[in-house]
Amino acid sequence: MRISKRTVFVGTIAVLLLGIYPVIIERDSYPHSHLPMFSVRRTETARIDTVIGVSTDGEITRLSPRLIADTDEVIMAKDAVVNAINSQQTDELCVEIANRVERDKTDISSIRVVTETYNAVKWFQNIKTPISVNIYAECGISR
Amino acid sequence: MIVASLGNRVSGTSPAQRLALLRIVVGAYALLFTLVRFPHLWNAAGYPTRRWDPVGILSPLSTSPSALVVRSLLLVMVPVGCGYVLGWRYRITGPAFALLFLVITTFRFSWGSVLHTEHLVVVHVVIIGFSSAHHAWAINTPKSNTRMNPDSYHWAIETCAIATVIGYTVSGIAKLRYGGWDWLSGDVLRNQIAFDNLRKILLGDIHSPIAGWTINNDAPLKVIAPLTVLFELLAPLALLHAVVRKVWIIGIWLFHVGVLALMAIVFPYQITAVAYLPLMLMTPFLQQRRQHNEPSRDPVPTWQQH
Repeated sequence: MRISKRTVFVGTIAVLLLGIYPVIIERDSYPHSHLPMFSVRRTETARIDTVIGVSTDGEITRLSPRLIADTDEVIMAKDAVVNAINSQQTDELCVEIANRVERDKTDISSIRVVTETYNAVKWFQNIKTPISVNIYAECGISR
Repeated sequence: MIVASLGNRVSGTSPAQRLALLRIVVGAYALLFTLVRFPHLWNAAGYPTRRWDPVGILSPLSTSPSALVVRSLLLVMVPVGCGYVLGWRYRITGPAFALLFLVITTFRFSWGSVLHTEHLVVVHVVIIGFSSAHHAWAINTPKSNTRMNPDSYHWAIETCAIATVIGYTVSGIAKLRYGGWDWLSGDVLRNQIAFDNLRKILLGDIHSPIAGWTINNDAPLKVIAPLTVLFELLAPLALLHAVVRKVWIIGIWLFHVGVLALMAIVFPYQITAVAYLPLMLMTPFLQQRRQHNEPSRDPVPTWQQH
């Protein structure tokens, strides 16, 4: 069995075009993507959508991706929060997370879906106070 | 590198054997990936529909496929994947595992996040799955008279190699398009490292232990940033010559090591160097031309040329 040169040529061109066309249409899909990871023009200011646990005495606990979105992938946890904020479904997300935290038997008494803004570079110079904190939803843990 | 030493061992093998080696290594990687991610994928089948955000071939589905369907596909995938690796009934298991792997990894990314760690492996699995990668080192290897023109085996290997380098070029273009020339200064990279690690901290994940030191001593990033973009944009040159290929593979592999060290992000297909195996197994294009012009074409030993 022989594959003609024309078939090889067409196949190679097809792979090339499939690889390049997401760049033209700026599409981040799967498996074809314009691969925009690490390409955003980041400044020192970082707005981070996340979910925090708050104890009765006001102490803040960082929740794991497992508790936030039932996943071990931090990006998926981040996207679950971002998508809930964008689609105004933060109340649903809050309750979902509260149910998972409830099973964990920690001293967390409430859950907050928030956007925290920091100077990310200064954070690593030990200046860890947020520039701002925006709360979208808060829900209690029933025990 | 492990794969480089593996490559040295296959010097002198036929094109069919080299494609078979690619089938075994890439297939084993994809199968292992499936097994490692099995609990996560099994669990994802039960995610609330609210989070369903389909991509790629699953885009037409307005709701997520039922958990029963996804979990059944997962269970089927394992034996079919073994068939792919072993080359057993490959005319069926090759395309079947390729399509199952495409569907299941697409499902994985249809919950609001497209990670960029599996894009290349799925393209390789599909190309190899639809090739004649079972004509050597396989259960039920066909008789030699059913084998094809060597160029047909070369084509599958070269197409995988082209897919590898295109991905990097596309990524380099994105850095310049969205990050602008500032990306080259190293400041954007420093901010990216700070942002990524801070996000991990705030989302309760593991972060790089050396990120803080690097952010506060960022002079090396001013060299690393433009080098990264250069290696990405010039990736296709690795197809041309064995020396360029070696330099490029080492450089781009170090880039992934850097990403792991500074941002705790693992690109397993690249870190294990399986992603670069097609490049290592192909005869670089400039050397092919030289070989074509010589009276007797040496079909294989690109590993011994340098």
